[in-house]
Amino acid sequence: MNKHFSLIIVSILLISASLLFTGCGAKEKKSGQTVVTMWVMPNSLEPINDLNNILEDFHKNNPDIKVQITSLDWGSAWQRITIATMSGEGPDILQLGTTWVGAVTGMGALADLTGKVKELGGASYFLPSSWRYSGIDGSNVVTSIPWFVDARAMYYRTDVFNRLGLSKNDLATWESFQKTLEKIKKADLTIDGKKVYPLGITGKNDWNVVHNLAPWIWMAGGDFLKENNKECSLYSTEAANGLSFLVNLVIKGYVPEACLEQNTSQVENAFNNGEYAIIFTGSNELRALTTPEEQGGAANTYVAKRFDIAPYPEGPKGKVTFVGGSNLSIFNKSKHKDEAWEVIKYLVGKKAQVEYSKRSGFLPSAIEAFDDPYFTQDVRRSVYREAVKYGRAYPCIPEWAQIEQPLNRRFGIMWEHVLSNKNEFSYDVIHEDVLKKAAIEVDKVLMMNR
Amino acid sequence: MLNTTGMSFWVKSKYYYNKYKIAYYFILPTMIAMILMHLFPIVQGLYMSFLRLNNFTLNQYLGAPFVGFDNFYDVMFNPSSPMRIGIYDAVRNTIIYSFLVTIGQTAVGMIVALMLSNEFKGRGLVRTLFMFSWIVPTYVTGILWGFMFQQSIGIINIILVDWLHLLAQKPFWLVGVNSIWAIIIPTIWRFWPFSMLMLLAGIQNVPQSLYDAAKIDGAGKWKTFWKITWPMLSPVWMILVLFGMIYNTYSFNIVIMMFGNGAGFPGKWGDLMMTNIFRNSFMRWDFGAGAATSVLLLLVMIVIVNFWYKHYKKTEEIF
Amino acid sequence: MFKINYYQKEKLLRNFFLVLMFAFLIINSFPIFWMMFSSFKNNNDILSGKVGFSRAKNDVIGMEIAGKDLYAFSQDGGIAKYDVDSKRSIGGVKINGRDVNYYIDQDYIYLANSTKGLYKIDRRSLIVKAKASNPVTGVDTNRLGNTSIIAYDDLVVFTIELEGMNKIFIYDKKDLTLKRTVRLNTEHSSFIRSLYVDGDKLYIGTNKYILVFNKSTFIEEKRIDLGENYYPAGVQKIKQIKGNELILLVQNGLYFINLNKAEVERRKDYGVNLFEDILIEGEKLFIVSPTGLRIVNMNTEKLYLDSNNLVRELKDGVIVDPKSNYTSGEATNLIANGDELIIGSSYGRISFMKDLKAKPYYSLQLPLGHRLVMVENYADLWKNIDFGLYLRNSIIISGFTMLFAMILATLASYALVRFNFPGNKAFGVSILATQMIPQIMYLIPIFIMFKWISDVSGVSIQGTHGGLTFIYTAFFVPFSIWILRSFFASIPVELEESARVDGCNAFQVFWKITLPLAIPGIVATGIYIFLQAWDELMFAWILTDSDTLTIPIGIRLFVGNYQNRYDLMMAAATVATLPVLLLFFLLQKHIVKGLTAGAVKG
Repeated sequence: MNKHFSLIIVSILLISASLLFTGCGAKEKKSGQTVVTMWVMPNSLEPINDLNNILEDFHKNNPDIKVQITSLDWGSAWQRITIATMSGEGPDILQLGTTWVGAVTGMGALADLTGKVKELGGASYFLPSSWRYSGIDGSNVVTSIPWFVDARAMYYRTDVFNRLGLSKNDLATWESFQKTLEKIKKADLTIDGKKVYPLGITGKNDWNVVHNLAPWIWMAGGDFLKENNKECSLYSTEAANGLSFLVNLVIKGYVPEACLEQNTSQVENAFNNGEYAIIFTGSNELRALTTPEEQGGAANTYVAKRFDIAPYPEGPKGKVTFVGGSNLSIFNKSKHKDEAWEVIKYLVGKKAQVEYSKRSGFLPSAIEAFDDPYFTQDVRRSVYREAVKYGRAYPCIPEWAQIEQPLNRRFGIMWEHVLSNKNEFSYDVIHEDVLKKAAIEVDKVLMMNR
Repeated sequence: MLNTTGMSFWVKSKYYYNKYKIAYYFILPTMIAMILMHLFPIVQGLYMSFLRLNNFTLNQYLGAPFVGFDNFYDVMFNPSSPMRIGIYDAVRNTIIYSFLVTIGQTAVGMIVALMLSNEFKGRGLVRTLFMFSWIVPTYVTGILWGFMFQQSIGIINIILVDWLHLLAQKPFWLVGVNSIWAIIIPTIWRFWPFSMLMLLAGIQNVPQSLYDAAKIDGAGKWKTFWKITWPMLSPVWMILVLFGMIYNTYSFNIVIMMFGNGAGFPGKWGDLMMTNIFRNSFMRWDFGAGAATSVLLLLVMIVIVNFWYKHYKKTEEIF
Repeated sequence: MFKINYYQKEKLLRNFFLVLMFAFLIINSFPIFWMMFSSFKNNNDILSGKVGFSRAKNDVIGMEIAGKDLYAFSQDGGIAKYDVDSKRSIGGVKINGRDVNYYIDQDYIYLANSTKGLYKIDRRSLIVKAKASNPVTGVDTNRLGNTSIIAYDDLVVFTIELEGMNKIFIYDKKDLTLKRTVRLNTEHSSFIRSLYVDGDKLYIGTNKYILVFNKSTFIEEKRIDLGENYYPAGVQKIKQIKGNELILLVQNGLYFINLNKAEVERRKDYGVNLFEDILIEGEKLFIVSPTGLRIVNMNTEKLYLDSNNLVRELKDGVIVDPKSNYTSGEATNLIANGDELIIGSSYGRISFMKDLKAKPYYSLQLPLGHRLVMVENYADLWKNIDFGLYLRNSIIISGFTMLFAMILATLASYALVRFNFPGNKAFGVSILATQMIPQIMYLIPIFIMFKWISDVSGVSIQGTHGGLTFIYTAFFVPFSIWILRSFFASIPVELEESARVDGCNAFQVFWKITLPLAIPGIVATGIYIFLQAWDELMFAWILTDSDTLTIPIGIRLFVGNYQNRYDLMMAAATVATLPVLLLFFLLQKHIVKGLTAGAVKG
């Protein structure tokens, strides 16, 4: 009886052993070549291939440098980067979400690039809103170079608008925006077999809960931190106005409840499939809607042929959008800093910037890349060109990534609360409960690090 | 046995070494592995809980400032510590979760084991099919149930609401209070077959004569179960409960994979101790406080296990 | 009243329990079934909450009139033949596939799709005469785009959109054997969208150029730069107006090309407007887009058709809204038959119109598409992410962990059970204690330990198979000892004692007597360890390199990249589950026996 049994065990071991020795262990590396390792996040559908394609030219011009790319997912990137900092064993080049730059710089993990950045023409080479993340606020030390920018805008269905006699102007201010939503709700349209809901926004299960709420807080005149970055200013009537405007849209029934359980890409998908008349999202959605399915897009959907883009509706204190994105940094313990810098310099060059934008859907960080016809000739893409101008970013301080945790949690709980008792949710709850508690928690974090 | 009183330590050691040489050789590799991968790390971990190890001192690692019991104070008593944010939720959820999951997996395991203890055609196959959910990796369990629990397109709501009309409208599973059920149910689903397997083996080992005697006494099924099967199985289910408690308290994979695919906040009712510590350690970089929380958890665990161990010893002596 | 005796009651009760149990079996197995079922679904079906499989779209991709026959081609690979006067169906054939395209000549229809390849079909009988498989292999089927096919002389030219491929394939017309492959000298990201033959020239439309080739030697003669065009779908259709003028349809407008000068003569941009097809009738140009039909004079750009259903924003064009007025669905193409227009649209609708301002006087409906059972999902999964590598790493790491942990646990548990050495109890307790430590505490120290070991020994173990195997072994040994301890305890000591009397030393006793008896328990424990190692996520997160990623990390990466591809996610989940499921199924009897030995003994 045991024979057949042990046989299988032995064969498992043999398979493992043979796999180990037959494996494709050998890495492509020519002698005399410097291998520069790079960690990237999934910015496009094929993070490694896309980047390799862009680096093709670089490898041609620099035969002695070989860039080796490792793709991480955002969730585990936190751990990997933390541990790399702690142990000193990390990659040469690191992609950092803009909101992490402060924290990772604060850990002392990043090389000082202040001297090198002059080669590019200094700060004026980059968009001002993304340059804010090049180093900690108030210091002149540059530790990370903006790579691409993620700005948000409003996507709306032209067929719905045409049918109801609405136009872009009806999205200009908060008031008209709300009226528009009311109209769409009353019309109760069913197009192409799908019921069209007025608005789609994400709730708790998204990975950027705070980013989605930030523009509304800013537009109402609120802010996260006070000028000196030492105290939280969320507990204010302005911030509460902004939040409650958005939450009220949910309470009034413009947003289907199912939407609040989903994440950004699910909401985008539902928009592509015709479920919402309006959504707020980043520029990669535009890429998806203009890219054929075979390249990972959704250009063949019904909505892809009938949509347009507008900026955020203007709030009481102006028009603001959230600007994020990713930066490139060189790891402090890197042994190939000069080679790594060459790679970064290539990646923020105009050609690579435009190419990467085409693939990832994010916007370039270099100002001159926006002169490319890819941006100037497309009516819709030019909305984003505008958006980055009135874009706003979080303060770049070492504590920011830590502050985001309690905010994420607090706002997550707020969405849960909205779903469970819609009727009891009011301005007071937001002001006295959500924001007050959030402010206390943020202050705790700030206090601890002082 | 040798009378060892009065011998010097070295003589004693030599005597035992010679006598049990082979035993020491046998445990040596395990000892080395355990010292390297359990003892050293745990000592470092304990030490870390006394350090102010945050994002500013991260690169100094164990050279970070020593702060004594500050971290423990922060976790337990300091109301203005950021570590405390959400920890009550996590503690409450972990207690509910680990209690219900442990009871659930033992209960379901017991019921199915009793059903399977009767002879019928195809019993072996049925048992194998039941075991399948235990084979599914936990990370797959998280993704799969997260997928099925979606409010509008998830199959669970489609079945409950659209097909069976059990509920008036589709409930949210991954948001709000229900999320505690959304993590309990999959965990029970994943782990109960193991309990069933053990209990079934135990049931088959109970002497038939006991049942026959009960029958003669005119005891019903219910009474027979509580008077004979349950106590006879106590060594089995006590171990199951013990390991169930330990593993469920430290449950991580299923929860982390279910909400936001590993990047999201599991919610007020979905957050567990492990995910809480994970966030505090790796996203807020308060490793000192994270380690202190782990240590506290460990202490609680030791108390529980100790209590259990004494009780277990007692029951074992009875049977 | 019935009276049932004790045995009947017993039997009834038993059957009741059996039914209950089977019901529970179904419920319990349902998630696994659902995972596998969903992995065969189309992602759009999943996202729209559809439970079953939906049908392939049967949008009309083209129509052709030959004599009295109307051939209609649909997106799902169907060819339907109708009598153009009586509108009666006179035959049809269906070759399931996606990205279908066709070319039709005197005798044959050449049908191409991206999944299966090329077909040569007799035009009259609609019988497949020859076929050739898709020359592009090893790529995710979702990345393959539009196919193009054209036949002339004795050749069939075929191409398929794929980033970085830039190749055309030339087949023999007779039996569809691949004759040669021509590589085009264009940029990485140019997509070949359309082919057109005139005279001795072959025109190849990409999204950047029109390449003019000699049609028999395949030598590039000219290249016409289209300038910047940022709708990546590229040139949809190439048509000829006069001898030296070509008209190109792109998604948002038209290009007029002078062949003598080899340059774009003029360009007409109609804004955001995904055009699908054009028809040239003398001076009149019919442009079809999903939102309608526009008729313009191609020289003066004057509009011929006016209707009150115009979309307001377009001042220079006319759009007939097919949805509300003329046909239903989105118009996809158009042909003329004498004085009538035939409009093909989505959902396989074909409408016949005489008066453009009235409703169509007749409509045809093509047969429904096939059910979309996506077996390709698995192939796509494999091509999208390096699943082979993850699987390999998982097998290596889990396999070796199993081996080492088995050895260590066997030795230690034997020692623990058979010898009452000083420290026995402490060792036993420490084994239980290791189970109580939250693993998260180890995470950083172990990483630091790894670094320390590699600093001291000079051998890097972080990110290697060996490193992870070592950790897993150390982690799973304690619980294995716990299981094996009771197994060894169940082996009678008397056997060993008698062997000892025969003069065996302690090791021989273990090796010759106890070990063979313990094999079932050891192996069962081994499988248990294998399953545990397969399941580990937290350490694999930080201790793997790009070469040593295991399946759980692969799945996490995949989930990060493809937030929405639930079909592939479920396929990935199935692939992660199947190997261990199979292993368990093969060995379940023994595993059960080995694992439960402890429980039996108590």
